[in-house]
Amino acid sequence: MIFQQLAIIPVIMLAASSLWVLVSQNWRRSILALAIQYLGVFWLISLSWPVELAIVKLVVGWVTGAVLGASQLPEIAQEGSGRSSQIFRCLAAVFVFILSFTTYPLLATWINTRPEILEGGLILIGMGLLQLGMTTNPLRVILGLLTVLSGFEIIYASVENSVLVTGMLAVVTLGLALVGSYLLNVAVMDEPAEDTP
Amino acid sequence: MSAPLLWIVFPLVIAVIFWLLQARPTLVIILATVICALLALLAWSVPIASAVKLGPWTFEVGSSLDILGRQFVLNPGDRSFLTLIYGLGAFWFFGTHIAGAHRHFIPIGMAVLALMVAALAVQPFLYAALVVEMAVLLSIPMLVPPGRPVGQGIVRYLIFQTLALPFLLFAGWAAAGVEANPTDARLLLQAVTFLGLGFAFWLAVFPFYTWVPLLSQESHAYETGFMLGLLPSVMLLLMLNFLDNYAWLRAYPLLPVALQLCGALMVVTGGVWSAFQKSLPRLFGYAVIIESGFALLSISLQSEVGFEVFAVSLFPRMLALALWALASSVFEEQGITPDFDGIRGQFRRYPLISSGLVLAYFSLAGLPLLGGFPDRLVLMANLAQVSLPVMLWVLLGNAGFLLSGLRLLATLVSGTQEKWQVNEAWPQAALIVIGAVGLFFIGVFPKFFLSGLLSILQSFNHLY
Repeated sequence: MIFQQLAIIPVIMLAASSLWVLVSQNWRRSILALAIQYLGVFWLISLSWPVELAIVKLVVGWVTGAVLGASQLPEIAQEGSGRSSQIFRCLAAVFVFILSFTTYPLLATWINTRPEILEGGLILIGMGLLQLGMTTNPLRVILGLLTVLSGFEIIYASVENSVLVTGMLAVVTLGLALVGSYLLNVAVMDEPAEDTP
Repeated sequence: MSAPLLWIVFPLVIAVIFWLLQARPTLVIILATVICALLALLAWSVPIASAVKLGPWTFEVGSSLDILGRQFVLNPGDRSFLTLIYGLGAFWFFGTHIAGAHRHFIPIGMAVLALMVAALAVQPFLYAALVVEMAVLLSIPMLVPPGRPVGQGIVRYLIFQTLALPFLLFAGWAAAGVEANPTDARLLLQAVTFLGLGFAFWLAVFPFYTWVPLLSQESHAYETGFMLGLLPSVMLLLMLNFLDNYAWLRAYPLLPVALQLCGALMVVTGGVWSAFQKSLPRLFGYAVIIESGFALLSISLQSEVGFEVFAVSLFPRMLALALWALASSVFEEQGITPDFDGIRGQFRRYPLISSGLVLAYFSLAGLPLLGGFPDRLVLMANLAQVSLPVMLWVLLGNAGFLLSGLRLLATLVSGTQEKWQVNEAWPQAALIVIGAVGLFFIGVFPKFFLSGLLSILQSFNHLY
């Protein structure tokens, strides 16, 4: 009940955390922001689903963050970037926020659900796409894809509540984290020796 | 015993075992080839969902398997596709060592094959989007093996394939709504838009295909060839599944026009760009784009002949792509850079590999007497009846692709006055010859080789 009354809070959480993921130059802070983002995702999904099913998203999201965090190598963790880049990203994010808040009524004509769910979902989809369009760094790309998928899952949860789909989406989310972890380390991986045929 | 257990679960278990046996590559290659060939043979010879008498024993291979309340169903009509996919799997896996593919190739490749079959078998078929996404994620360690840098192509491949997932799941939800309320034009538009965008990302439809040539250039030719040969074919079959299941989609007036436009754009842009390429892997990428374009054009006809052209084109297309990938990989294995400068004059040193490469190329370009010609001829004739300008544009795109093929041939035979010699090892020569002769025989006796593939359409009862 309290989740429903305070539904605007997770939208603000999602906007702030996705902005943090976009702007932050430090991978630890980005992953922390991702964890907060999944808290907001859980909150909004719990408006459509029972809490015991919605919590799957939170657990999977946090495990995803843990997998990505555990695979960071010190030498590729630093990403140098100037202040102008951060300002540009902030301005682009503001544009996404404005777009999300102005276009959600259009989406509401298609999907009949609470406005907070649509706003939160659109913010994450927009911020994720923005992230994907601005980088080729594997960590950033995976964060972008996870953000887009989270936004989609928030909206999709309001129209579909199949347990199997939830499970399969959880597998895809974890798979993305594992792929991200692999891509972050692949260049420095050693080849084990093969038996002589 | 059920068919999904045999053609989905068993290969998945085998893939895990192969992963554990990676330190013994020769054993894995032999086992993978034999198992795939056996699975293909079983698909070809054992009927699904009807009693089989074997001496004193009688048994039946059931068609469905229940997992978590959902069903995986393989119908008798799927046998041709199973034969095709596992038969070609045997070809690919046999060539692993010859092509110098990474040891991850067989375990992951086997799992990807099983997941592709699962994508076609899962009911409701909307779950296929999730299964395909799992296959895409699984393919990443195969396409970027340990020690290799991560390029832009692989990142874009991951992005575009993953972005297809939300659209297809939403399309499924919207489609269910249209089924319940077929007169709601807004819902119909919504379903078609989601579906269109989902398939556009999946099939790398113009303008979302930039990753295809990039991925071809960055990754090993053999592993990329495997994925790019397999993925579009399965996705196109899933598209047929959608068309078969939803009458409103088949009746949507803009669908043939949209498919025709997308297909023609892919062939024209792919053909024109390929005319300016010098790199074999990038040309391979454009060949995949052009082939997907032709497949879309055949589906756009929305007639019996169109769907038949699509079905019979699967085998020559996949075989030609496999042969090209093999020839290109063998060149790389010999230390030859796979571009026009690197392969100059190599016909005299590697006549069999060069011949295989040229035959695969010209088969994809639809030259007479080769595997790609019969279906291309029928497609163009039918397309001309529907829209002559579109056919002429498509012909222009194909001409661009063919032009690059002629340059490839000229480059291979030009240059040195070296003496003729055969430097290929016998397994390389054997596999190349099997592929090349296969393409030639399909071109000369298309009815004998391709008529069996028409039974793929038995799974789709409402298409025409």
